[in-house]
Amino acid sequence: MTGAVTTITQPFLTLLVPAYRTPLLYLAAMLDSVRQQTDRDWQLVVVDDGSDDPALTAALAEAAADPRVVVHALPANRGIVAATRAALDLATGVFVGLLDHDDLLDAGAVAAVRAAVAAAPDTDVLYTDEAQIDADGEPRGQFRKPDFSPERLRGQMYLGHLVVYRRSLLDAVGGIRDGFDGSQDYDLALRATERARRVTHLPTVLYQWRIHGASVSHRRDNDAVFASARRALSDHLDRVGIRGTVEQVHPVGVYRIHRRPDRYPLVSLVVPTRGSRGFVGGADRAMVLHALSGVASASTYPAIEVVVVADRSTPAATVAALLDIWGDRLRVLTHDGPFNFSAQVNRGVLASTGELVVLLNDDIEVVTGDWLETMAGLALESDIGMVGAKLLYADDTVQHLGHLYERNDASHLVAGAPADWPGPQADLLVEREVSGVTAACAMLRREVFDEVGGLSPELPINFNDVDISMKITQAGYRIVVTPHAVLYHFESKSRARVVTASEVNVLRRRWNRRLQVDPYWRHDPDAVRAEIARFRG
Amino acid sequence: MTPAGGRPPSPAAELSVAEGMRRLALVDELIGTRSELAEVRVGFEHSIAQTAAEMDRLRRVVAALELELADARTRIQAAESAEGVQRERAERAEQAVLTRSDELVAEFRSSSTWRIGRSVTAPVRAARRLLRRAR
Repeated sequence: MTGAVTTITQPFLTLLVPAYRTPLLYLAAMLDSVRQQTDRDWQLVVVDDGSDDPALTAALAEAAADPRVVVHALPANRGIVAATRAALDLATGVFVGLLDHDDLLDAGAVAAVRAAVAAAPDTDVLYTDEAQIDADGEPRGQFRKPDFSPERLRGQMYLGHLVVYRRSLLDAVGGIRDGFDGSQDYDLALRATERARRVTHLPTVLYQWRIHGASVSHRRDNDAVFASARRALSDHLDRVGIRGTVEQVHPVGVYRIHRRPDRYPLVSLVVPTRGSRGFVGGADRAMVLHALSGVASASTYPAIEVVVVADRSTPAATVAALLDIWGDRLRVLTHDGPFNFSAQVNRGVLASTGELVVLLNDDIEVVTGDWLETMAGLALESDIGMVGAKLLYADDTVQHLGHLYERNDASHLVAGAPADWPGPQADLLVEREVSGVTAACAMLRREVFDEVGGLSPELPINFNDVDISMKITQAGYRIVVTPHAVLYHFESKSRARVVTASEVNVLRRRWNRRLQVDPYWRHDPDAVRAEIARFRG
Repeated sequence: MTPAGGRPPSPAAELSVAEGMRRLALVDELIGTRSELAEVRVGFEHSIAQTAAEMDRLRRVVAALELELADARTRIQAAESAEGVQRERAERAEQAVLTRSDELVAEFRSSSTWRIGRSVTAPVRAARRLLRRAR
């Protein structure tokens, strides 16, 4: 064999662009945004999906003068899946990213992706934050995404843009599948993340998504799009071994997985109480009696036991009434000494027998009858360490939908927001990972409770839930909150909240670093406040 | 802990709960201590990194100062060297002037003018010598 040796270098990143009747201005802007990359090691593959537009053809031909730009034309319009697959066939990059024909990349996008991969070389999937722009390129908002949240991905395709896949992983999972037009990116994200060694979130806005009249040109039929998304999710559940069904719960493409575990083990409700009274619905009630009679009448879960850990101040009549309701499914333990939530909960859990344990305040009221089934479906998964519920104040505003740990503080997310507010990115409609949940209502497997040493005796009143959340995530488990298990929490009716310096010190001594930036809630607080105000009208 | 109602726990169960409480507390203490150590270690590493960064900064400052110092030394040496050359040149010029002056004197003394003058003034000089001796 003779002749010159040609060295073929593989580009770092190939960007796939299926194009269909793209407005020329948008196409030019997209092309410019790629050409202006500070890291020049890219390839761009544009597949014209039968646009039948001579001006577009000419513009693409001109772009192809750059040897890094590959242009291919399909003979007829075959849809986004066929066009993207054709682009993938021509891609030679180590990584492959999906870029819409009318969107823009930040000039530093390729460089930032390369740096992130260098920092975490086992990255197989990477996604960035994104901004939305209007038809004129004016900013419309940002989506600062959470770190990888597999539970949330089962509820919505939150990865959005820019998503980058290692090519070898794409090949291993079979690339882009036929039959999922409009939801092909969701289907791909589910299949790829199931097998990725690492999914990296790059918390920087590197992509501008243009929202305009023609931006859904490939989605001729949204019902079909959502149907294919449900199918993609059903396939995903089969692959990962989750028994359940998929329901669309919001028109923007938000889904709920109804888990159907093959068994519903005994759930132990552990309820510390001082026997306090309070006004609920205008009537003076014994809170623990109101809570547990409501649980008994509203809950549909088949196997519940209750352990009440009562201060001596709890009236005997209240205990007697509880026994009337729960019979031998109730155990009441008396706690001597000052109110100590952690000690009472630990003692109650140790005295209980259920495989699943629910830490429950005595000032709650069940709203959704299947709250325990919903929480158990999640808590029974081996990599989930704790599950929280949606708690409402008496005035129907949100009291709890997950904790927020940032700026050296721990607080409740969106406390005070209207109960039906969907959140900045429909966050509050989906089951999703959070940094922690309140012990006012939290379910966990007994083995997890034991593994992390229960609630800390060093934190008798406050922050014990923050601490156990930290211990659980540090042990490698996820914590998930579900908006589909809803209860009222008449907070502050049972005790006044006084935080001591000692409690703050314990928390900061143990977890200072992890109290700085919350990986699961990165929205701009001002934007969130503005959205809530807008929602209220 | 005493039962107030419902199914009463057996003494064994009570003992088991007490042991369980101790075990939970120990596990919590272990995890808490590990976390505190990790926090301290990270804080320590952060301090080390900060100190190293400060040392780097100071090293750069010292290096810059050393460069400036070396530059100043070079400039001083250059100045001193220039001054030496100048001094040498001046000395050479002075020497040249003296040499030339001697040459001129010698030249003059070897001239006929000088000899005639000496002859003419010889009686005067002799008279002066006598006069000095007489004093």
